[in-house]
Order: sequence, then C-alpha cells, then structure tokens
Amino acid sequence: MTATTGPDDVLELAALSLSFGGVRAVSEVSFGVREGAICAVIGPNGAGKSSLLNLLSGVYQPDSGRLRFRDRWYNRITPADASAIGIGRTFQNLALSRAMTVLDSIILGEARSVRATVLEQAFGLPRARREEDRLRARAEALIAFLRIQDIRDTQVGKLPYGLQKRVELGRALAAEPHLLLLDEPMAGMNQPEKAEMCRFILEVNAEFGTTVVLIEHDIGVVMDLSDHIVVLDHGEKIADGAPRDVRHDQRVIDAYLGAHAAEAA
Amino acid sequence: MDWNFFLEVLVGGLLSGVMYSLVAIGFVLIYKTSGVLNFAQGAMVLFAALTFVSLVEGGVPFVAALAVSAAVMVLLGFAIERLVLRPLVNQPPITLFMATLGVSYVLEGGAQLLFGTEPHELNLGLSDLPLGVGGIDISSFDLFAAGVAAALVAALTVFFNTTRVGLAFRAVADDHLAALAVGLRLRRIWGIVWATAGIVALVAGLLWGSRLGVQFSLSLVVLKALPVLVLGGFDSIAGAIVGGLIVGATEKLAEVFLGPYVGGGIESWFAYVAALAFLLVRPSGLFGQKQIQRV
Repeated sequence: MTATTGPDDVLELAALSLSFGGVRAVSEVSFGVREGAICAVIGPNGAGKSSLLNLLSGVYQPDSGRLRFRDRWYNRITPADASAIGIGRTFQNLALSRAMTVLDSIILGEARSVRATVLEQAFGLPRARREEDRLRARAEALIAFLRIQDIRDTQVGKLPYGLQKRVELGRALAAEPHLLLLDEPMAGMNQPEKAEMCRFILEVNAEFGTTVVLIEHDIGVVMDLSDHIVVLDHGEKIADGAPRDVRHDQRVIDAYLGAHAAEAA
Repeated sequence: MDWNFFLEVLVGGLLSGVMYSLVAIGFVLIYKTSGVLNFAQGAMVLFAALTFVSLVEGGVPFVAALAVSAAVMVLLGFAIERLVLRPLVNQPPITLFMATLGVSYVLEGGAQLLFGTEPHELNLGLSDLPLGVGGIDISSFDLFAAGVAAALVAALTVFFNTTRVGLAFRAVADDHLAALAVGLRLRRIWGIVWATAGIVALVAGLLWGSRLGVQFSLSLVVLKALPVLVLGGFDSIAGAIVGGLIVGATEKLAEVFLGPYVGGGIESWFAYVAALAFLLVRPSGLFGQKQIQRV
C-alpha cells in the first residue's frame, strides 16, 4: 500500500537516513508530499518523527539519502538554506524568545525578507523605512489572521502555552513558507485549543496554499486534518497513504497495539 | 562629616565608574549574543587607542584618524570572528574563552610590532579642570566621558530596539533555535556584533588612553571590567552601566572613608572583594538572566 512519489510532489525524500552513534533514528525513509497537501507523520514515541522533521529543516544533516524540494535536489541543507528556499517550521518545545513581544516575534519571522543593509537600518535611510512600513503592515495582517491583536504587545513568556504555540505558528508564517513543518503543534493543548489550532492549519492551507507536514499524536486530529499519513516505527516507514488506508494497515495496528501492549505490561 | 566632600567623592566615583562601564559593554555585546567571554576586549581597547595615537602622531587630522581607527576596529572585529571563533563554533565555553585569551596576546604582540612599545600621550583636547557645580568640584573630563558613554549607550539602545538587525541580535541572544528557524545567518550576526564591540573598544580606548596614556597597561582595564560584569550580569547592558557606577562609587568612597583605617590602597582591590561578596548572594548579577533549570 506504499504510495509512490509523483510529479505533483513538492517534497520528495529519497532514502534519507540518520544515525546517532549506533542508533538508527531515521532509516532509508522515502516518500513524497503533494503540493498543497496536509501530511501527518505519526508513530510511537522514538519512531524518528522529530528527527525526520529536523532533517527537512536542516537542523540535522542526513548520513545518506537526499531530498527534493520543488525542482531541486539537495544532499544537505542548513537551517538558513531551508528558510531561504521556503521551508518554515515550529518546534515541539517552542523556539521563541520569551522576552520579546508578540509583534516583535512575528516581525522576526520576516527576517528573510529584509533587504536593507545594517547601515541603512541604523541611520533610518529611505529604503529601510519603506521596507519597515511594508513588513510591519504584513505582520499586522498576520496578527489579525491569527486573532492575537489583543496580545500583540505582550511578552511571549507571559502568555499561556496555547497562545505561545499560536505565536510560533505566526512567526513561521511570517516567512511566507511554501512548506510548513509543524512539530506537535497541539501538544499540551486542551480540546478547544486543539480545535482552534486545527482551524488555523486548515485556513493557512486553504488561503495561502501552503503545504503542511505535521507531527501529531492525537489520532482523531490526524484523521480529520490530513490528506496523507506517513507512519514511522523504529526509524522506518511502515505505511504511507490516505488516512482511511493507513487506519486499516496491519503493520500500523501492530506498531500501535504492540506499543500499547508493551506499556500495559 | 563634610557633606559636600562626600558628594564630591561620590560623583567622582560614579563618573569614573562610567569608564568601567564602557569596557564592560564591549564584553556584554559579545557574551549576550554568542556566549563567549571575550578576554581580548582589553587588548582591543589598547589596539584601538594605539592605532588612533599612531595615526595622529603621523600627522593624520583628528577626524580622519578617528574614521580610520573605526574602520580598522570594524575589520579587526570581523577578522577575529571569522578567523578564530567561527572555526570553533559549538566548542565548550572554556575553549572559546581560551581562544580569546590567545587573541588578546596576539593583539598585544601585533600592536607592539606595528606601533612600537613606548607609551604615547593621547590628548583629546579636553581640559581636566574641575568645574564647580552646586558647590562641589567635578572633573570636566569625567563629565565629557560620561556624556560620550551615555551617547554610546543611547545609540546602541536605539539600534537594538528599533532596527531589524537589532531585533535579530536579541533573537540570537535569547534563543539560537528560534533564530536559526527564521533563517538568520548567525555567523553574519556574530560578525556584526564583533565589529560593534570593536567600535565600543575604540571609544573606551580613546577615553582611557587620554586618562592613563596609551601604554600596554591599558589592556588591563579588562580586569576592572570583570567585577562590573559580576555585579551587573554578563548579559545586560543596563547591568554593565549600573555595575560600573556601583564599582566606581564604592571603590572611591571606600578609599576615602575606609582607607585611613587600614592604611589606604583600598581602591585597587575593593571592587574585587565587593564582587566576590556579591557572587555569593546573587550569582547571576543584578540584571543577569537567572538560570532556571528544570530537573
């Protein structure tokens, strides 16, 4: 039932592998993600989901294998490359500056769009000022989109966890990514917060056409949200396809039931 | 006790503390953004002052010498980051510290090769006459130094808080992962930080040089910056200022009012003892970020 990669894929992984010492975190994983899709990567704890996302965003470099994004193949990318070619991401444990305001955090996300030089900025020359106005307006629009106007001047560290997650999403969106990687965007959220985050992800996908690859544990959320599910276990891909197919895959059921049985024991 | 005399000592101490702050700010800039305790800051101060003095003695007009020295310090900052710290990225802090210790000796040696070893007089054209303000005498040179320091701090604050590069600095200082995720080029930012520290070293070098003369002991001002950093916190510019003021004021007051009971000479060590006592109570300094560790 393994889905093959095709010409519509915006992202294609070809036998990506990553080891930490003797541990194979990601083992020869290959799959494709269609342009405009919402793809969920699931699997038991330690399956290599976060490692995989880190490979896609350049935080880790693969030991072997390569990946295609849009029309180019890459053997290795750095985090700066990833953001330059249009891959944005959020982190499982939030990577935000706690002392910054919400507005500044989002403005920071626009870093790649800044063209004015250090000196132009330091002396407030016309080009830097025009750019500042334009980018600020864009940040405000994003804040309105995420419905966080009322906390725009609050320090991120003072916000509840669910809102911090939303600010981090905003920071990632500010870069106008083509592909958005979300590492457990709903971890630690209650049900209404999860529903809200789901809605934002769907809206982003629909309005901006952003392709989304996300890691999530809540199977109900995953089934509702995604067009495409990739299942990892012990670093290997064990299933890849539409939600209804993956749900009935015997290896997936075994991996999850096996894990639960082991936990219960 | 003579109230006016007390005030005079206090104000004199505060103003000399500003000079310590100037050196401390150079440390803070680099420590905050890259976690490197740059021991070479003192050597940079010396190098800057020597460059300027040699240019002026060579007949270069004041303003041109200032511009050239600034350019030299910017290039030097970029060069240290590029040649020494970049290859060592992700090494433990002690390795980076040792590297900057090495850099400080290379700079001092290089400066001797380039500019010779004899002390130079540096005259900024400022009188050091006491000004009578409200019944107390204040050194006009100290006032000027404080004014320069205040202008520098104001410029840095505006730069950090209103420009996108400043925002990027803060992001790098607060969370490397976040900075990387938005595509900031950390190396470029670090280069700019080192260049800025070079400029700060030039300002400190000119003021300290005209006070003490431009000679090799100038690089020892780093040692005076350390208690300032312990008091104020290694990662806070505001802390560097307040720390400098406290160190300046307490050492002068201690010298004048406690000195006679212990035979004098307190000024040279009092700051260190104060810093030591302070460390025991508040290890992250007055303004430093508290390290919260979850276990």
